[in-house]
Formats: sequence, structure tokens, C-alpha cells
Amino acid sequence: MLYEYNAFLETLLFQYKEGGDVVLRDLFLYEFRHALRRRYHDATLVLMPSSQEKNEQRGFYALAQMFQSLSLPLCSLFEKSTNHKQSTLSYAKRQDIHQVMRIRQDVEIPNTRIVLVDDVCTSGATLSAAYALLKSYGKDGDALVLSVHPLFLAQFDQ
Amino acid sequence: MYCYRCANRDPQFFAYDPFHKNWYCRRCIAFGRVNADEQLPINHYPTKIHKGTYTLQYPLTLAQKQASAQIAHHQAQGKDVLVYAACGAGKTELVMDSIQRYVNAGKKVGFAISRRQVVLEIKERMAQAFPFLQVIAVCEGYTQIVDGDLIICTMHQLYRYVQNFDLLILDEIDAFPYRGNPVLEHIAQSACRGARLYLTATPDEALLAKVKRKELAMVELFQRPHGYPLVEPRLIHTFPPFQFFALWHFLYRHKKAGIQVLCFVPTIALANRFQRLLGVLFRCAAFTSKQERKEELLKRFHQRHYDFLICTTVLERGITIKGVDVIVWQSDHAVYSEASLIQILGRVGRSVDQPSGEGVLLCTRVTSDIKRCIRAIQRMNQTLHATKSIHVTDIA
Repeated sequence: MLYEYNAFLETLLFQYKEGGDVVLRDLFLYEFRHALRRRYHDATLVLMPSSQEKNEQRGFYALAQMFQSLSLPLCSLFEKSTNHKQSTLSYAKRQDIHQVMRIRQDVEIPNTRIVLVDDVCTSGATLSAAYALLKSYGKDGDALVLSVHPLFLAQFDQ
Repeated sequence: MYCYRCANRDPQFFAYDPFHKNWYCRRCIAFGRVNADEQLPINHYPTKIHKGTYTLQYPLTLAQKQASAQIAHHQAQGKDVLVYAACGAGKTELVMDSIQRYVNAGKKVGFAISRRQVVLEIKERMAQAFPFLQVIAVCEGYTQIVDGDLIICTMHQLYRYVQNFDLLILDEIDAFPYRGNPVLEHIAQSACRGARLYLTATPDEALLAKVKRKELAMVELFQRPHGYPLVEPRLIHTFPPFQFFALWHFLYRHKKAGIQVLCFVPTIALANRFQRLLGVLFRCAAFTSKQERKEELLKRFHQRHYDFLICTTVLERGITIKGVDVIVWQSDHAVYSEASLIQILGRVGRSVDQPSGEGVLLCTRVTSDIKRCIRAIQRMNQTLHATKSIHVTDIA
């Protein structure tokens, strides 16, 4: 995890994704780009699923663009079963993500080292679902998230 | 390349979008993305004619009526008007007449304010004065409904209303964030397709220059409803150690007399330090922009739980506390502009039962801002004595 999720980052991500400020795409990982390229030079970055409609509406794939500055292979391995907004779900509902996410049939699981990537980790539900799905295919993986919500960090202190 | 929302022509502020193959403006991206050289879409909000008159809790003073008539006179000639009114002169009541004329004629009226909390306050007052109108507040947290008969909003929200208002009232244009912000200025200008009414107690040179060039009509109102003059500050010009003694003496005297004080300091750090120091002897609290639960603090101050508040310029505008006196620490500090000092002193004597009070400026040297502030207050008070004869004839 690179940053703690706070109001500033929330506004910045909103400006980037909903606001269409595409030139920000290289900004998010900028500080860490060299270190990340070194650490994951042999890996494929697997993107957490996003809504197809949103990508079409925005005209660009926000998450992918954020990570493409690392010049590492990207893979859209997962897709959403239904269209919903993670941020409007309650904690309990998010745990049901297994019902709403699956591995795409038309994409091959990379045979390199796998790193799951996302911009914000709030409950960890998306990542753990992705991890579980990979496990069921006998693959393991790391996770790299741009930011983590303080509530998520708090549960580890407990 | 040109941005129609913020009038930007600087290529540095335009970014290229390879996905849509166009350029967009980054200077005003906070208001949503606008592509270069693209005209803004204009929403058409319906208008209705509303026959009705406003009701006030207290009647207008003669001075307020005269000022109101002058505004009407200028607006009838199609001019934009600057209302140069002292703090607490009753600017809000003054504009009600204009609002009524415009809604009676079926026109769209907007009232844009610099600060969010004031939007909600003004909305309540207007809703009470104009019960036959749908008065709405549009600001952060209140953006579901954006259309009404009378729209009260923050300056930022004006980006929603391109060419929508026949009358746009802009309050406290000399304050943050509007002041010196070309993006907000242009957004505000584009929002109005008719007449503008600027309200301020401290107009800057640019505005006054416009008045001189006859591009803008000015109406002055320096009399506060209770008729008492603005408090002229007492200057204590001495060395820092003596300033501290003077401060302590002022606070002690006021505590004995049971009069609350607002003690202004230039920085947040100083506010906290003073609070720790003086908190030993007095019941006081620090009030800064970094404070949590500001409303609660103010409420407790209103309830007299504190002898004084140590505050930064965040409290210089908009708040009304009965019978409070003011002292400014380090008034020669750069943060205290002429306008800032005038606004701070305007916190004194705001209610009918406590119409006057004491204002003290502590300094090591007398800055030009301090001098200009004192002169401005004196000038405003002088006009109170001059008799004005305005013919309030043809204006209904």
C-alpha cells in the first residue's frame, strides 16, 4: 500500500475518474514508479474489475491508465457479474462480492508472478475475492494498492 | 485555445486527452471538465411571475429606505450597482426590494455568497421574508435541488447557472475565495444575463475605479440600524512587552465588567499558544480554521461559557455576537489588510441593546493598512452626520 486514503485523495481520484482529468494518470504512482518497476519486473499486474459502462462513458480505462506508466504487462483477468458501485455497499454486502465477481472466460491466467492491483482498498473484499478465485485455480499472488482506507488498517490493530 | 468557463487562454493550463483527442482546461477542472473552445451548454430554468411583497421583522430605517430607492433608480437605468455598506448596516434587508421587483416581473434571481454557512442563514431569512417564493439553498451538501424562485448559493455553485440570472446579487466579493480569483469571477459574470448587485463593506481599488469610470453605480450605506456609528479603534502603539501588558489589562478589565471579547491573533499557532497561556487566568478558547466543532464553540461563547475567544481572521466576517469588544494582537502583521481590520472592528456594536463598544489595535509600528482602516471608518461615520436628501418620488 502506497498511501492512506483521505479526503484529498478522494477528491483527486474523483477529479481523475469522474472529472475526466486524464492527464493525472501518471501522477498517482509517480513517487514510486522506479521502485515498483524494479520490484515487479517479473510480474503481471492483474487489475481489479471495473464497470464496462463506466469505462465506455469516461472514454478511458482509469485503473489501467494509472498503472500503465510502470510499463509492466497488465491483465484484466476479472469482471463484475453485476453492475454496482462498491462504495455504496455496506460492509456486509461487500463480503458477498464472491457473488458479483468472476474470472473472465476469454482471458488466460498469466503464468508469471501475479500482483493484484487496485486504486482504493476499503474493506479488502474485492482483493480477497480475487485472491480466493485465483487460489481456486492454484495460483498465488501479491497485492499492490495505491491507497488504503484507515478503517481497513484499523482492523489489523485489533 | 480558449476556455469559455474561466476565460483561460494560457496554454500551460490546457492538457491533452489522447482518448478523446482534444484539449481541456485544467484551471477550472474543479468545476467539471470543459474542453477548449467549446461553448458551455445553457440550462433553461423556467420562470414565473410572483405577485407579492416581502415582510420584515423590523421596519427599514430611513437610511435603508433611501439606499433601497437609490438602488432601484440605478437598476431602472440598467446599471450594475455596488452597495458599499458598513458591517451590520442591514445589507440583506436592503436587497429585498430589488428581489421583489425582479420576481414580480417574472425574472430569475440569484444570491451568491462567499461562505457556505452564511448561505444557509440567508436562506432562512429570505424564506421568512418571501413566504410566497420557493427559496432554495445550493451549496455543499445541498445540491439535489438546484432550481427555485430565489436561489441562494455559494460562489462556486454559480458554475451551474450559465446565463441564468436576470438579477445576481454577489455578497462579500472582497472576501475569500472570490477575491482575486479569476476563475470564480468569470463564472460569476457568466452566470448573470442581466443586472448585478455587489455587496461589500470593503470594496477594493479595482471596484472603486469602475465606479469612477461610471461602469458601476455606487450606493453607500454607513449607518447601522440602531443609528450608532462604527467603532473607531484605539491604537496602542508600543513595544511588544507593553503590548502584552495592555492585552492582559484589556482582558482583565472586560472580565470584571462582564463584557465578552474577541481577541484576534495573526496565526493559528499563536492562537493555541495564547490559549494555553491565558487559559490559566481566564476562561477562554482558541477559534481557528483548524478547529473541530466550530458551531459548538460559538454556541458556548454565545452562552457565555468563555470570557473571550482567541481567534484568527477566520472570525472577521459574518458572525454576530451581542455586546462584544475586540482587540487585535500584532495588528501590524501582514495578514491584517485594511479590509480585514475594518471587518474585525465591524464585529463590535451589532445589536440594538449593545450598539457600541471598544476596539483596540495593538502594534509595534503603524502600518498603512491600519491608517487606511482608521480613515475609512472615520469617513463612513462622517457621512452619518451629513444630511442626505433623496427624492423618493417615482420609485414605487
